[in-house]
Amino acid sequence: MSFELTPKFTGGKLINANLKAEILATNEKSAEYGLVLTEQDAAMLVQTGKETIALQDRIEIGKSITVKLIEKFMQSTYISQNDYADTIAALLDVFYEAKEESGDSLTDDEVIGIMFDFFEKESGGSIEVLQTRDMDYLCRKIRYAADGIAED
Amino acid sequence: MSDIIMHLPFSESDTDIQNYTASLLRLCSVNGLIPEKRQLEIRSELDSTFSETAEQYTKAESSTIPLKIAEQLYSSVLYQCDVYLLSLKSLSKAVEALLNISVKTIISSGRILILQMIEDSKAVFRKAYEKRLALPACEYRYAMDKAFDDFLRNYSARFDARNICTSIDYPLLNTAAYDMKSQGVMFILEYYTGIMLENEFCSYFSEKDIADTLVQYGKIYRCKYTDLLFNIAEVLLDNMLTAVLLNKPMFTLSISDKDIDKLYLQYGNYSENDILSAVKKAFQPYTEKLSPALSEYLKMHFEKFSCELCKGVLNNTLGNFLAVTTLTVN
Repeated sequence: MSFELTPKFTGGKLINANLKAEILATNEKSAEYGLVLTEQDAAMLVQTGKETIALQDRIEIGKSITVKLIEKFMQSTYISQNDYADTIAALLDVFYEAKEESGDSLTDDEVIGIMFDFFEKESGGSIEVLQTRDMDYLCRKIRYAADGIAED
Repeated sequence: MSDIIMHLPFSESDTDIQNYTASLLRLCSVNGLIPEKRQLEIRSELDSTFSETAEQYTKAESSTIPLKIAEQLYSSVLYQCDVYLLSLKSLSKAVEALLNISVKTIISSGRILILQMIEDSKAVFRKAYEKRLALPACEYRYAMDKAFDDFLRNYSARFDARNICTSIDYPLLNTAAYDMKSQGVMFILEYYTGIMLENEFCSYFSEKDIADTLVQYGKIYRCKYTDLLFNIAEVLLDNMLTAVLLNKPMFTLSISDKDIDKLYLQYGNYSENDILSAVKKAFQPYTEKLSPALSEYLKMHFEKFSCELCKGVLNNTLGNFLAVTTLTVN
């Protein structure tokens, strides 16, 4: 057996071995908002998270971003049971793009907070609008926040 | 120490000093010296230290980091191991440590050594700075006035230990900075120890004599010396050693056309080894004047000097090698 010390970063994550279970555990709280993820949804989100993170040349080192997004966006007034899982999956893309824009100077919670406000107030709860029409605006907002510049 | 460690089937030259821990583990693994269970333990401890380091890096405020940063952090963890294992100054002891000491202990010992080396570097730099030259040589000035401060400001023993976190172009006597094998704080300590000794050497000459010699050196290349990237001590030492061979008074820098003629006459039939022996002999009185560390440091240049002088005498090109005071450039 040859000893290889290069860490296997390319797998996308080192820690969250029980991610599917963690995602399903959020149902306990989200049920209060009428939102529940199935086993299939959780598996899809695990896979999407893994692919997105690998595409962004990042690795996961702490609490899953997917879980953080779920915990915040379950409070949205716009997300319904029908589009819950797909919206979270789409938000993963938006998150990493926004995180990149911040030059890693904003914390996950700050980025997610800005995304949430934007989703609720600017994009009218539409992930399509956020991803297309409003993405540049969101990125600008993130950059301003990262630079500590107040925006009108 | 076990028999197998006493008689290792590989040598220091098989290791990679720039990736010491990883290369040792690979050699041990290939040669069946390390059980698979121990390999997994080491891997697991390294991964666990990496995870802790990454969490500290983000202050636990980010769940992801760019791959580039992850590689830097992992390399930093391995560098801490490298520093400890290299400090043992013995291949057998390093292998024994890897097989028997917990990686966490190796890492924390390495980190303590790094912090000590940062302090040692500060002391060395202070001495170097006290004897710095007030010359308009750009890269030298940068190494003295800016590079070390940048290192102190940017270096992180925990997050970026393998890099020097500053920019250094000025070469040492005999070694270009980019050719040095050491990394991180080990590089800084080695580099500024060299600069300290070189500044000590230069302090034996007046600034005017140094400046005059360097002006002549620039003329070899038909430009100002300030436009050249070269080692100041090397130019001075070459001239001084030449003066030594010509039995001139101690610490003489100026070499005239006549001196060059004498060199051709006196050393025309000398081999490189003959010149080396002559230099060693003629340098003897200097060892009583100079500190032992400085003497040893300067002696490392003798072979290169002898080779250059021999070539210069043979090819009639001493004027391209020495800063000659009254040399007429063709």
